[in-house]
Amino acid sequence: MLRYLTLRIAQSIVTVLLVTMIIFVIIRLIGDPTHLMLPPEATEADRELLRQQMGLSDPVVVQYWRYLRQLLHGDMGMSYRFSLPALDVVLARIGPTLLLTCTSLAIGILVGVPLGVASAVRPDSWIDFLAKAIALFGQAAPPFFFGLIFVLVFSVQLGWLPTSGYGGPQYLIMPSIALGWYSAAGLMRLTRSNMMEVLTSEYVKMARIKGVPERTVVYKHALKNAALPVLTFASLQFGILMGGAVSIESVFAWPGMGKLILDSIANLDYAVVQAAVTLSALMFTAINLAVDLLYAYIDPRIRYA
Amino acid sequence: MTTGIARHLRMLSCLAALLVPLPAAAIGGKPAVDRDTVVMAVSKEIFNLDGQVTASGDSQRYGWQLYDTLYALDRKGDIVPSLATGMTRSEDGLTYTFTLRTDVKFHNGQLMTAEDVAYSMDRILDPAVKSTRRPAFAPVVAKSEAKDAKTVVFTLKEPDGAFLNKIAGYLFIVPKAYTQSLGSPEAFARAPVGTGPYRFVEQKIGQSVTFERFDDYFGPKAGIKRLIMRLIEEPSSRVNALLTGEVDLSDGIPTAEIERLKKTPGLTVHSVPIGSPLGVRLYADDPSSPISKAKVRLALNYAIDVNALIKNVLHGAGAPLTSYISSYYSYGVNRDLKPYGYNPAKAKQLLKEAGYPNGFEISIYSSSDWPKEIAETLAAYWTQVGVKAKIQRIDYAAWSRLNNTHKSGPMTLMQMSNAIFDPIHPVTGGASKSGTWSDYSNPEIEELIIEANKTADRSERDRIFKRIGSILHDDAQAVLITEIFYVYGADSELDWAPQPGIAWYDLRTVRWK
Repeated sequence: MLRYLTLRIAQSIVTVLLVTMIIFVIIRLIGDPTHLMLPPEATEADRELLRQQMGLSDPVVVQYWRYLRQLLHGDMGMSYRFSLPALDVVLARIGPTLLLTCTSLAIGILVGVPLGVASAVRPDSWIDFLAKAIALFGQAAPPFFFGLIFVLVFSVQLGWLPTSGYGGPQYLIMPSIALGWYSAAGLMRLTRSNMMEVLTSEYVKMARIKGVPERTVVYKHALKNAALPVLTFASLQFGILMGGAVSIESVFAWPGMGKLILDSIANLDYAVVQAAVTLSALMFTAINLAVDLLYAYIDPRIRYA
Repeated sequence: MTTGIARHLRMLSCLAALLVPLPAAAIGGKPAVDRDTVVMAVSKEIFNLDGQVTASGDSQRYGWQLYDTLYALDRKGDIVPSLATGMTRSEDGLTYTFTLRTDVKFHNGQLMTAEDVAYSMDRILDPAVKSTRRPAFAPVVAKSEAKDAKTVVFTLKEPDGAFLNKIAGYLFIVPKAYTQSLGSPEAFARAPVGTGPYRFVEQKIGQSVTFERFDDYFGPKAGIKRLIMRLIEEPSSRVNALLTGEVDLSDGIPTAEIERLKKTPGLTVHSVPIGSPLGVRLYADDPSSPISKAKVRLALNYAIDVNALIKNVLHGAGAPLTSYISSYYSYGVNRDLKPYGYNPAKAKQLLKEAGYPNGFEISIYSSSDWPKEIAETLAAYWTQVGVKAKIQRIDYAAWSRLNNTHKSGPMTLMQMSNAIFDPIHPVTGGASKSGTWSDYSNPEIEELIIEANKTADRSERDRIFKRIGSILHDDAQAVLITEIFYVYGADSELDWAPQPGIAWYDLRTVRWK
């Protein structure tokens, strides 16, 4: 176990390093921020001065090495747009993103899994029909489409909820449902098919023959076994939701990371892009690491796989 | 930015607008917060609150609320005294002496003195501050000094006819003692102090910036107690927020929504020219290219029905141009010039005379900032006269790098806005041989630019720029498309009119009726 742990941690560090390296080079290939920072009457000499001040005239290898050294001291550079440390800018956005993603995931699980179970238990019933319809809509259209429809119906027409912004729970309802719907759809279908399969298996039949109450059969025997792939899928959804959040953040003017990264790339705010990507990479590798270690702990065979 | 998404959203929102025609919430005097507050939706984030540094014009728009300048631009674009009461210029145009008001307080309570003014200029010139205004002043300013408490003298290295305009547009006055007491040049952005009618309260990154009325303001007090600028980048979301009354005022209304908002009770639409030309930059200095020939350039202009483009693509928010000198400047506009007009027969004739009876193939860049329909319309019109233009659409950041380094040829859609209201800005930027955005050189223009730089007299400048406008028009230095208009939606109970001729927001006098 210790060997596996060390190996996985080392792998994670290398992954994060690679990600920072790739983004560091790529963002520099996209463009030079001094063009966006200075007015058109600026001369090439003005730009060169600014490049030197920002350390951009050094070779990329030198810049990257400097970045790594600063990173060890917790310094991720300054955002030229905000005149704030890039880390502060990113941290201000991580909270809203996690709130939105986690709420959406929770909605996905709380709606998707029970619906999946219910429709598997009673195929072709009204609840099965309803669940399938929800899943169909959820997967057929991108989240921002529902976001827009929600805004038009619940904000513009009915005046119940604010159209956009960030603050109390009322701001969270529409974006998290619009985003969570997508996960709910996937989770519902996966739960349903897994449950259908498990419910026809020998041990479920056996349990029923033995006279185990149907409730216990469904929730204890069947769901437990159907849940493993569902859990894996749910943990994958986290990343998918963070990616999908970008368009939702746009529609709802939600101050999240996805939009920050996009805007920072568009504005070539190197420090913010680097900080945001580095932190995201750290977060994802940490989650992956935790999941892997958990699996290894639960199922010893995985360590040698 | 997220253009792909944005485009889909816009399309969808138009579609959805058909399904849901009427908002339920009442607007018209029902303020977003209360009648002491105005909430404005802004399309671009306000990044850095240090008005001397702020990197982009888009995020400078808060500037006029927080800071003052020695001279200011009034609604007509005239330069009027503000923090200064008067100014004298030496005979040789090298010494500017400003007399200052003595009753001006900074937001931290300190009285403004000549020391602060001299310091404000020195701060811009200091490379460590990374001021975006430095390129405007560094080449001309030799020194700035405080003669006495209310007299400041700027000495120039060479005459600069637009110096007073630059003072009005760029030189925000900041307090010396306070600014110097901060640990780093960047620290000022977190707690900016100016002399303006509003003081800074709070900035929430990615969300909003809040200002409050500065009660010790030397001039007319702000009409409201609190001003909130709320970031809503998605155009359809801004419209929705306006429709539900969550914001009282919004910039960047998509032109496709103008008609709908005009019909909405309780809402007003302001559409105002910002003194900014949209044209096609032509790389005319390559002798092997057809567009090096004036007749070809003229033909490209005559081939386009600009009025139809404005009506159909921009939903009326535009006006034809006669040169890069916007007709909404207060001087330097040659009103004798007429837009080229739509004349495909003449275009064909000119192409024939230039040696291209069957037209030619060429390409045009368009950044993602522009509706793709603009370039498509141009290409469609040019096809009619035999010129086949291939559209290359790229992201704004990538485009701006190409465009600022003369690599966006042979043609590119380009717009220039102007913060100083003087025509020198678009002329040197877009039509002189040393211009960042120019691939056109004309010895006559170069001489006139030198003359303009030496001339500070307003009527003389007027004459020089009229001449420049006429030369550029006759030589078809660019393909002229339209004046850019900014479209605002506002609660009709709001007493506010946008400043024409400039891309900045003046919310100094906004109030509830």
